[in-house]
Amino acid sequence: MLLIRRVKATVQFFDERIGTEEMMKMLNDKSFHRVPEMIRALVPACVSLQIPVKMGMKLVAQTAALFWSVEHVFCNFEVGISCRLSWLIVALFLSQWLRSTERDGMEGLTNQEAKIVSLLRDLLFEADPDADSRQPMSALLLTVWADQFDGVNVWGSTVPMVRC
Amino acid sequence: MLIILVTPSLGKIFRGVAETIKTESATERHDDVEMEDFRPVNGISAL
Repeated sequence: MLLIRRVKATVQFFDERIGTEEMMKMLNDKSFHRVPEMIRALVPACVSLQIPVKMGMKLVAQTAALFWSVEHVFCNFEVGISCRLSWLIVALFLSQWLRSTERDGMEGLTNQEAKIVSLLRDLLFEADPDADSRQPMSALLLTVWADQFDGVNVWGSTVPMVRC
Repeated sequence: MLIILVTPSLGKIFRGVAETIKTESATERHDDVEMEDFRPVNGISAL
């Protein structure tokens, strides 16, 4: 959690190179250990990714400038996330968790964890059918999040709508 | 007081990290291939 805070602070106040380095440090942090209780956080994080992917993320993010932000609100409203920075934490957590599964190997996964990995794999290839299956899933996930963050968004409307 | 924060593009940062992971992964795969090249083929060691 401390590392995630560092990444957040870096992303907010420093340049892209430093932000990238801090994020890599966080993803390669060997002190991060998966525990079964994380499933409770993983499920809403997956839902937060699943909704825009199911809606057709690339098409909507690139063509629906006026109403995409409203749909983003609904994506995050369901899982109780109110602003873009909190969404960043979700992205970082999912990436770090996936990275740890790649580091430790898939053999030690519980049934629920294996289901989460399977769901994420389906979502990633639905979001980008041309993705290279030989690439690590964490890299594919980060690319999908990057597409979301790069899309045309009107983020200023997010917080007031959630408060309403 | 007006405070202006200049934040870098999250998309660019995420893409940069993804590229780094892909590069690391490709390097590891390349290392594996090189190790396989030194294994005996059909039980016959390379002379």
